[in-house]
Amino acid sequence: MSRSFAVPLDAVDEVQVHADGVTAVKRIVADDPYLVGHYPGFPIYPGVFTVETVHQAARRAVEAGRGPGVRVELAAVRSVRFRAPLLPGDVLTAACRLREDPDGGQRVRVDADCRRHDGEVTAKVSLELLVLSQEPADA
Amino acid sequence: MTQVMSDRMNELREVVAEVLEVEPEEITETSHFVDDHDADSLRAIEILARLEKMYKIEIPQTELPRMENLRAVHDVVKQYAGWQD
Amino acid sequence: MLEYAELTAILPHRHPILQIDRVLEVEPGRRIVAVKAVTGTEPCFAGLTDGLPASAYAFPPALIVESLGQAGAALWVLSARAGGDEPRGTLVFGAARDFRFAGAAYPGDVMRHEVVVESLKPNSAVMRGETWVGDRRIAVVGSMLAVARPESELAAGPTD
Repeated sequence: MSRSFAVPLDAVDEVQVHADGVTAVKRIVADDPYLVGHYPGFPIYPGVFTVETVHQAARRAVEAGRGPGVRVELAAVRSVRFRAPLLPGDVLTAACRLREDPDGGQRVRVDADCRRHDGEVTAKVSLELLVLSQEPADA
Repeated sequence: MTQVMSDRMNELREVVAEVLEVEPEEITETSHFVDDHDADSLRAIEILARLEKMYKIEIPQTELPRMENLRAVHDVVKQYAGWQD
Repeated sequence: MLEYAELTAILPHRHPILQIDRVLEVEPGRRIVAVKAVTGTEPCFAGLTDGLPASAYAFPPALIVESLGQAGAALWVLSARAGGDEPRGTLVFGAARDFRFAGAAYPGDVMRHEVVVESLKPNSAVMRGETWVGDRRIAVVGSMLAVARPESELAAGPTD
């Protein structure tokens, strides 16, 4: 395991980039990092980890699309709604639609529909990413 | 409908539209929040909280099931704010 | 002031996802101020390659949301208890809106969360909040919604 930025866990197992976005799959397992405390004896994939799944998938898609020399940051969680829990054994599929801000493309809006393998909607997530050039002067 | 009532209805429409993330014009007095605007119980709680803050009133959570469209929201707020018209 | 040991009697979260360390101030029904110290030994900093820029060590935004949310959950429980009650069921993060990040926290920083109640009901709480590192405001949330769900419902699936 070697990472280029801090994350609570590897929140995507597979990603598939397509024309207007990216689809990510994450299999929930009880020994995912942090789950031992969320909650002891009763593991549930934390809601913020679903946000992280969407964030990591969208980030990969933007970085792949723009090539090296860009750094992507999460600027905002515009809206998130959690509708059903994810337990070990569940498979999360996050279908993310990406739209570039019309002026300049420095901001990317991500709208994700998150579903469990049984089709149940687990969350609706809307994020805003900021695309920067690698390591600005203020870092 | 009186002018006061229609102003209030529009004010409520703005609040509901913002929470449901739709254009105010899409919300009619009887369009159903859940069936027509993809709302859920979480959105209903958010609407209730915003109305309480805006009108400085207290609405019991037992009123939530009743608040299924704009007209019902108006009636609930009217009751707890003591609007006369 | 509430210490870590006391927080374990308020929140169901445990190491390593108990993401607040201490409550500095609380006015039940109104507001809370809680802190979380960020350290390089957090699991989120494991496995980073050498030679990365400083930005790679920003505490993950998802964990800032979790930490601020837990401060809100503690406020809800303490408010209910002050009123001689207890939220019924497990507290669940229901929704959030307008969560904006304006900075970052790094190992060595102490995040200070300030959460204010918007609406408290027996089965739900709406709050807003801010996260500070020293005099830098690094995050603001317009609204966070928590709900109390029966455990049976959580295990069963759909919560609507």
